[in-house]
This record gives sequence, structure tokens and C-alpha cells, in this order.
Amino acid sequence: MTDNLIDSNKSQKYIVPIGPQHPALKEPGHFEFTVEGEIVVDASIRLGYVHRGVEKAAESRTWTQVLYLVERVCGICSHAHGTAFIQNAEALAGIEIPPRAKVIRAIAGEIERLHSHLLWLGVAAHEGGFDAMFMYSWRDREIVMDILENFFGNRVNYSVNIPGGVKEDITPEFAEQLRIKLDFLEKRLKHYLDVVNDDVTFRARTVNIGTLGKEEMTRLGATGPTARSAGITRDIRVDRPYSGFDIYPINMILDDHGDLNARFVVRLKECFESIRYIRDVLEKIPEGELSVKFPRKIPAGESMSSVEAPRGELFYFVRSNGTENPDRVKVRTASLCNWGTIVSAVAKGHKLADMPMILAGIDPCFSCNDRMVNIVGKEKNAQLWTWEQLRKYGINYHAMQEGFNVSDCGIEQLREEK
Amino acid sequence: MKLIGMIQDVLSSMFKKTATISYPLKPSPPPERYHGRLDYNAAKCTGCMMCTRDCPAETIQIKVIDRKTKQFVMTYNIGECVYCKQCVFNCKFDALHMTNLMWESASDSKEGFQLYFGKKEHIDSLLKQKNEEPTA
Repeated sequence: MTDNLIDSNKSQKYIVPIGPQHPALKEPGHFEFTVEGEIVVDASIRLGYVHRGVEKAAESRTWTQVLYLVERVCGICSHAHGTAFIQNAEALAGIEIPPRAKVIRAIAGEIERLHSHLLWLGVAAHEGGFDAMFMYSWRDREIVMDILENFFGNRVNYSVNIPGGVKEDITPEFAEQLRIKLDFLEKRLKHYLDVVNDDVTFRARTVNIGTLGKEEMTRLGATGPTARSAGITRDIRVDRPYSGFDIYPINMILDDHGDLNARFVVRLKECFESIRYIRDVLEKIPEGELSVKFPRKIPAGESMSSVEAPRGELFYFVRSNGTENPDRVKVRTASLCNWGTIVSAVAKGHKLADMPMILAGIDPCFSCNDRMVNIVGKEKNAQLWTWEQLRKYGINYHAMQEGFNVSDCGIEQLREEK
Repeated sequence: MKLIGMIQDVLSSMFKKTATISYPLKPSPPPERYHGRLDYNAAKCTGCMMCTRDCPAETIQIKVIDRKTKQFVMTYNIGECVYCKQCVFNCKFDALHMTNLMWESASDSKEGFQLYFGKKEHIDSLLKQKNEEPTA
């Protein structure tokens, strides 16, 4: 009988399963935290509860229909998804969209970032039991939602893009309305930044919680504000400027603390940068057409594009076979890159009570990142590649696309030159 | 270091009006550019079907009765529509418009969301035809 009793002197490990339906997050995901007392020593995650088959569905629709389908991959960053897809389609069709359309796309993207970061601020504060901030930040988020509704016709899934340009123009009257609303929003955001930096209870829940250094963050492939909070200079809008950001550049916001508080600060400061950017660009928005003609059939080829969604790098690969429908659409969302930082590093060593806030810290979006993975068996020539081999293959592939040969110079040399 | 944080917000809100609107008593008008119910002008339509080709929800159907005398029946479902406005951009003849009407649409049956545009006798004959079709 004594064997069954718990020996209090011996350390015991328990696994606490949380989810798929759980109190912390609103979307389904299964987590298993191994705890020793109250401290988490190991974590694992299982995703895939909201797989919807978007990639397969895209293959049976026309290019225009797919634009609206991929906008619905994520309800929060729908404009980023639409832009990433349609940039590929436009590149394959050999279309250059007018500069005014490019800038309107960039403005829509920044308005979207504002509403996404405010939504996240509320959710993350709510996970920490700070419901006053949750309610007030969501009240202020309504201003951004009203802007989107007034300008683009819808609160969510606003469909700013059309193949070959944008739908709605930003008239001087709208620009004036936008400036007034941004002034109010900036005042509120300054207040939230003060709370994040100064409030004692808030700092107790966030400072030195979930800290991850620059090297670890780089190794685990973090992206977006999560990576920038640890000082990694990684922002697609700056590194590979796309529509609008190549005409008017945007600044990157960095912090070097790498903890939960740094993630709050980086996201709030990004909001200020977005407001600054929108204000600046509204002054000098180029004149011209809103869209150009888009062909029904797109020549065969492959294209890739990345867009800086509010959560990080959003990647789209599109292959065309010369028909009215895309042959293959591949989506890789930012949340998928950031999960690794939580399960393999951040969660360990913290109390179980900190887990909701740490999970919310990367701004996870579940239904976006569920994709099917087809594991090919050994009999079908499966290859196991190391990171270096994959990198070498990638460099060679792109070099061949650009038309020069790097087969005789090693990767190490390339790195040194860089 | 401050202790007050959000307390000043909470206290000052006690003397302010609520942020929410008392909806059924005080309706809030939709904005001018709002993507609401689709409007169809048969006099301008040519029956080219460009609107049906790119509709992501595949919810627009146009039945041509007589192309010369501009007699069409346009079927449209408010519940299936995703309000993307692509059909309006596809229409070269200005026959389709997104209105900001009927933004608070509700119905107790699926049929309530189905809208028909066209002459009454044509709609009636279309409905009769539909009812006679054996359901699979």
C-alpha cells in the first residue's frame, strides 16, 4: 500500500493537458505542460484542429476568386494575405500596379496593423487578469474598425485589393477624417505605453518573464514583433520592401530585452510608427489610376512573395500552369514560425500561471497556421536534408533564377562577403 | 513607478456616457461606402455574365429571357454573399451597385435571403420551374 502514496521528498513530474477547448485562448490548440511542482519543465503542442483545406480549395477557383478565399485564411490580417497572394499573381502576369494603388495598399496594411496590435494588447492584458486594459483598448480599437468600415466598406475582410490594383480611393475628405481619428488614437496609445512601462502589477507579470536571447530566437526562426523584441533586425517592410514601402520607407522598431514586456513595448511602438507612416504618406500620396487590367489567364511559372503581417513574415508560393486557376498555392503564416520559441524555450522554467500570458505573447493565430503535411515514405525517395544543405539548395535555386552561377563558391564564402 | 495605471480611466469613465450605442432604440446609419445589399439595374444589363464568373461565393445567377428587350431575372442570395464588390468591378455596363441598405438583414427561413430582380411574371415562371424540378 505504501508504494502508492506520494513521496513528498522525491521530485514528481506531472503532465497538465490543456485544450483543445480551454480557458486561456479562444482558438483550439492542445498543450501538454510537464510540471515539477508549479514550474513547467517541458512543453509540447498539437495543432491542426481547424484545418480547412484552403490550399486545395484554391486550386479549383479562378485567380480572382482565390484572392477572396485567401483573405479569409485569417480574419485579423486579411489584407496581408490578399496582398501576398495577389503580388504573386501580378508578378506572374507581368503587371506593375500604379503607384497610387501601391501606397493605398501600404496604408491599408498599416491600418490593419493598428487594429491587430490593439486587439492583441487587449487579449494579452486579459490573459494576465488585467481586464480594465482589455476593455479600454478594445473600445479604442473600434475607432480603427470604423476607419476600415468607412473607407473600404467592411469591418473585417475589407477586400481592399482587386487583381491589378485597389478598389477604393482615399479622397482628401477621408484623409482629413483619418488624421483626426489617428490623433485621438495616438493619445490613447501613449497612455497604454505608460501603463505598460510604469504599472507595478503589470510589470510584475511581464518583466523577465518568457525571456529569450537573440541567438536562441534566431536559431528557432522567430519572426515579426516576437523576433524584434529580442533585437533581431527582421522586418520584410525594410528588408525586402513591397508595395508602397519601396516608395516611402518605414522604420523598424527594436527592443533588446527579449521578455514579455519587450513584446508589449515593441508592438505599441510599432503602432506609433504606423500612425507616423500613415500621416506622412497621406501628405504625398501619388496621383494616378487605381488599377490596371488583369488578364483572366496567367502564363505558367512560379512566384514567391513575403508580406510583413502584424504577426510577422507571411509567405506565399504560387504556381501557375497557364490556365484560369492557380496550380498550387502554399501559405506559411507567421504564427507557425513563432510556436517553436514557446514550446522549446520560453515556457521552460516559468510557473504554470504564467503560461496563458506567455502563449498570448507571440500573438498566436491558430486557424491561420493549420496546413496539411504529407510525409512521403522511404519507398518514394524521401530525402533528409540538413539545414546547411537546404540553405545551399536555396541559394543555388535563387542564383539560377537571377541568372548567375554560384556552384563554385561555398556558402561560407558567401556569408563572409555579406 | 506608478500604482494608478488604468484606475484613472476607470474613475473618469464613471462620469462619461457609455461607449456602446443603445442599438434598437438609436439605430446607427451605415457609412456611405458600406458594402451592403447588391442592387441590379436590368435596363443596363447585357447578360454578359461577367459578374457570375468571378463571384467568390457563386451566388449571382442571371437568367436571360430576352436579350434584345432587356428582360433578365437576376437571382442573388444575401446570406451567401461575401460583400467583396468584385461583381460591381467586373460589370462594364454599370448595372450592379453595392448599396448601404438592408445591413441589418435577418430572416427566419433560408428563402428569406433569396432576392429576385426582374419582371414579376418571369420570376413566377422561374420559381414554378424550380418547384417542378425533382429534388436530388
